[in-house]
Amino acid sequence: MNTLDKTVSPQLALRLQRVGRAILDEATADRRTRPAMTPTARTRRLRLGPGIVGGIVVALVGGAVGTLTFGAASPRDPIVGLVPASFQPSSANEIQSANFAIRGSAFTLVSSRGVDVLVQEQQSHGPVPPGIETVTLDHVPVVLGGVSGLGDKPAPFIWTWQRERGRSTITFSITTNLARRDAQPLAERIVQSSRGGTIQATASGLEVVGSWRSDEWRFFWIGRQDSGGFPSQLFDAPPKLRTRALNVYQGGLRQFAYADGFAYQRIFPGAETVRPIRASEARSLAAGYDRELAKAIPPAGWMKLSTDIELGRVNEQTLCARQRGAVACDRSGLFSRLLNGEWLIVRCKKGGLAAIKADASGELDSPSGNVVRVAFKDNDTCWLVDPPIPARTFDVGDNVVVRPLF
Amino acid sequence: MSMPLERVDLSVSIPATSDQPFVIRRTPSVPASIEAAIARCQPFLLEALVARYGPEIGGEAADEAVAWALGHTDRLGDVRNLVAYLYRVGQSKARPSLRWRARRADPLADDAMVANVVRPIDPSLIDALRKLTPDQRAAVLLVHAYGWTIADVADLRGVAVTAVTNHLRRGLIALRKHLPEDDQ
Repeated sequence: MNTLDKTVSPQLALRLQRVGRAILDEATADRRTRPAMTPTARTRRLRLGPGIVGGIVVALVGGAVGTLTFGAASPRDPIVGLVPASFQPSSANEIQSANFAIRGSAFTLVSSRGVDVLVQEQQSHGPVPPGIETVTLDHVPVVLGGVSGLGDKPAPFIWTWQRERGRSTITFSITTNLARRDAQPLAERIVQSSRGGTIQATASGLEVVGSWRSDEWRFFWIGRQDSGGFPSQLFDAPPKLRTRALNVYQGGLRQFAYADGFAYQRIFPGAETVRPIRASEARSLAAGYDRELAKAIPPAGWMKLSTDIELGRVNEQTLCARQRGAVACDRSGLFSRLLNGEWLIVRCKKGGLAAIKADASGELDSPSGNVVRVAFKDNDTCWLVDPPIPARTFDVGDNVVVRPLF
Repeated sequence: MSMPLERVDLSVSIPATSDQPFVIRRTPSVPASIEAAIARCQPFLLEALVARYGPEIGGEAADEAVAWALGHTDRLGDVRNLVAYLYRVGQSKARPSLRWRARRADPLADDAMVANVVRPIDPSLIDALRKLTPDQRAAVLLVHAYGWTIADVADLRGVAVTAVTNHLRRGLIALRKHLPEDDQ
């Protein structure tokens, strides 16, 4: 029996209950349906925590390169993204339409001291729809990004990165089927951000080469390549999957983690190796997504996590983005290094998830390749990259040799 | 170390009208499965973590704790108080979120959702709640907002009933002190 009930007046108890319920409602409200927060002023500054922040583009207003859009559905879920210069929505309908296409784009910002983001209302494109704020960057050393698809146009951008051993040179390849004029501004911005660099036209698009100081954090992200739209599971996934991807692991964690359709990569000074996330974390993540999958994950150890990779037939276009050490890739050109003993969760071509483990007998770069064992599949076919093309179909328990793609 | 805690078989029904208090009743039934027990614990876990860490961090921590539980059902068979067990898990999950700020920062005070969404409901009460210590505020919210008994709160935290009583009593004293007189 709560003997202290009598010490609280009924009025105060009622107020406490009301407030407590409001707090609880806030905690349980789906951020997508949560009413947008009203900006208190036309301009305000957000302080995003040090490290990496990321999210989903849920709204699009404006369109100038460097303008980030921020869906203010939740302050804990900063949602920004870089939009191409060519897209200048003029109406709410167009924005909504674009939202559908652009949502799912990943973004990442990295700053060792946090990121100041200036939130301001943009008037140049008419009234801002409720719940949408535009964000322009301030004090962000490098901002890169892309969009997954505008309308029916597939695959505007593919970003890949490469950090050569012992150097701080980063190469971005923009393989795009957008018109050059659309890709050029982004490339120019990259060069500008990198304090120098070059833009070169290649067979696959534009290649941007920039050099950065090694004591700064940089970020990169890889856009999805899909034929428009975005995977519905992106938003059906539990919030923790999204928010987990936003977490910053401090202390020199060098691993990139894929979660919930996003690719996040972090490059740390001097980082030459990657460190997978703990299997226990991956298990926790997977539990809310696919319980069976969670059971397939080993209880201990390290693994890479990706619920994004959609393995499919490798074509010449993706192969052109081959990267040293890559042993698996997907249609979006997303490459993952799979180290010996590491696990990789992949999404099968026709749905379902699979966990594959590099049961490698050889070294990563061994010409003989690594042996990958398909540990789990979800009543579907798992396509793995097994050069030569075409991709093969594998079943649970199959041992396959995955050769480095170089 | 406290004694093993009894598995909580509580269910909550929230009245439709907002002016009615929460109703908590004990249900003697045993969950059919560990998954069902986890599902039953979820609302209590959410209340406990939200009361301690605020809606932002607490909500996420509750989500993650449940996800952890679903992925580690094999470890939960011998757990006698699932809510308390998962509360510990939630505390661990919340820790990284607190790491960015001062570890002892007040999540409720820093919570933007509280500031923007909840505070307008009752500004003076929210402001007063922010002035409590986290333990005091959690005790006040759990007992007087969510209808927990002091014994349940003590079980949850693995502390003595008297400790919770003290937190509650001091929290209420502080609450009255910070509330305008005509507001009490």
